[in-house]
Formats: sequence, structure tokens, C-alpha cells
Amino acid sequence: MLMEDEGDENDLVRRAAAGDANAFSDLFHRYYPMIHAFAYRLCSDRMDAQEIAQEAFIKAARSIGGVRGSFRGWLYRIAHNTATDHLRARSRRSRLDEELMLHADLATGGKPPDFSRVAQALEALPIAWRAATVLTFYEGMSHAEAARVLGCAETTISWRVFRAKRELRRRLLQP
Amino acid sequence: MTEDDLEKLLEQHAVPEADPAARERALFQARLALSAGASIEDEEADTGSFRSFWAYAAGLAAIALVLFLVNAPGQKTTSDDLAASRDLLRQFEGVFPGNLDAVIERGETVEVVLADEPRPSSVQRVVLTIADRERPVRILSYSGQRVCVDLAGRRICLEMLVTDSGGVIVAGDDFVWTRENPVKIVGRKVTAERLAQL
Repeated sequence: MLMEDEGDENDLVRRAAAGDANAFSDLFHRYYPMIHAFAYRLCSDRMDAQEIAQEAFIKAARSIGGVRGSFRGWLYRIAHNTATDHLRARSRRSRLDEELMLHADLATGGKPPDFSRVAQALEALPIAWRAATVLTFYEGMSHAEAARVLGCAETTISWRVFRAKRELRRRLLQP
Repeated sequence: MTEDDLEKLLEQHAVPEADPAARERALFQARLALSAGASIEDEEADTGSFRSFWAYAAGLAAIALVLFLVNAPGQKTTSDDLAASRDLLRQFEGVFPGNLDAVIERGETVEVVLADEPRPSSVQRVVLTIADRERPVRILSYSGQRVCVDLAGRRICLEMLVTDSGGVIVAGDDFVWTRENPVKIVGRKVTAERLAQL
């Protein structure tokens, strides 16, 4: 069944690369929930996650002819790069509006009321550790797969996940 | 906190459902992009703010010296050297995905040259070794890339090109090196090889 699914997906990618919009839509519907969830876990913001997911699929549509190997891994890499860019831009905006953000945080807490301790702990991780954790724990990727998505060595992923989990434990044990 | 406890906590991190309107908007925009004509350029290296961020980084770090402690346990075989070069390049490509021009090893010092433009991941990788009395210089770069390096008090610029047959040509302002015609560069012996895919 897995091989049939892969063959089916390879066929969809090939047809989408040839300009078949329906084939691309099938891929979109297959992966949008995952990419949206991935983006949300990286940025912890609903609007940002929607924006990142949209941008990632637009980039994917533009360059689908360049898929090499796993479409899933390729798409996740685009989403990761898009999210990283987005977070950098957000960080720059935050520094520029630091005083305003401080007042906003004091007034509203800066996050929706249901922003959980886990989400806060994840958001506090460096983006590289967060991405490694999200890909391996939430997206179910092996360290090797995550390494291909993030463009680093498998041992780097293992190290980042180890450090992330240690930091998460420390934060989540705090009162 | 045990691993199980941590995992149970992490599982509590729920993701809100995607807004259906946002999802439809995303599909619409993506289909528009598809119909505008797909490019075969590798999108992985193309991020929204690539040019501004990396132009700035490349300007600041056109020659970025990174102290990198390399174990050098006596003499290595050629295959060991190639494997070490492959590993080093892979590590730096992981740090600077798609925007690395070259990595220049000189003994235990490593110099990183960053790109102004994103690089397609399909470009072939090359290693050039220049013998030196004190410490060999090893340049890890890409087919078609121009790299400048200080040698014997001179600034030498060269381009490396992988041929269709997998051979390597190294061309400078006043020399052309090939395996069949292994000229010396500023009096130094040179070898150049294509690096197998990482």
C-alpha cells in the first residue's frame, strides 16, 4: 500500500510539474493540514501559520519542477525556510516596536488565553532546536529524514533534539 | 521528568484548525502561481528575504574566518582527505544552505566565502588542493564558481569547472590546469577532483 501511495504521489508530482492544476490541488489537500500544523508549532501564532503555509505552497507551485527525491521532505524544507524567514522578520519588527510590544504584553499577556505552557516552552527554544523537535516528535520523521529536510547531518538533529528535550523538561518543571 | 512524561506533555500542544477561508485562499494563490509557469530552480534556497539578508551577510562576511579544530592524526590517504572534505562542506552547507561560495581550509583555519545569489543544489562540488611548504590549501567549492585566495603573497583568482566526463578544469587569469596538463599555480603543485554527491 505504501509503495502504491508513493507511486500515486510521484505521478501527482509529475503531472503538477507539467501544469496539471488538479494534480497540484490533490497534493495541496494531502499536505496542507500537515504544513499548517508544522508552521503553527514553529511560530505559535495562528495568523502567521496561515501565512507561512500559503507562502510555502505558492513557492512549491512555482518550483515543483525541481523536486528531487521525496516530495514530502522537499515541501517541509520549503515550509521550514519560509517559517524561518517569517520568524526573522517578526523578530526584527519586535525589536523596532519593542516599547509598544512591551506595553501590549503587559496589557494582554501578548498571547491568546489558551497559549499553553508547552507552547510557551517550545517557543522559547532556538528555532533550530524547535524545528528538529517538531519534525521528529510531531511530524513523526526519523532523524535522517529530518536531517534531509533541514539540510544538516543526522547527528546534528540528534544533538538538537537532545538539547531541546533537556530544555523543555527544565522549563516545564518550573512552577 | 521521564521521557514518557515529557511526551505526554508535548502531545497536549494542540494545533488550531486551519481557517477554511485561509485554506481556500492558499490553494487559489498556489494554483495561480502554478499556472504562471513553474521554474525548475530549487525553491529550497529561495526565501522571501534572501537577497537583503544574505547580501548583508555576504558583505560583512565576504571573508569570514572561522577557527575550526581539525584532527590531523599523521598522514591521511587521499580517500580520507576526500571524505573529510565532503564532511566539512556538508556541515557548512547545513549552516549556510544554498548560499555558500567556497570553504577554504588552510591548516587548522577555515575561511567561509558566502554567496550573493542563491545556489541551486544541483551544482557539482569540487575540491582543489594546492601544495604549500607549511600547510596545504584546500578549496571546497562548486563547478562554475570563481574563488580568490592568497598564495605566496599574491591574490590568485580561479574558476573550477566539472566537465561532462567528470573531469575538472581549473582556470586562472594566466593558466589552465587539467589532470592531463597539471601546471603549477604560483609554483605550487595542484590537484583537483569532483566531490561525489553528499
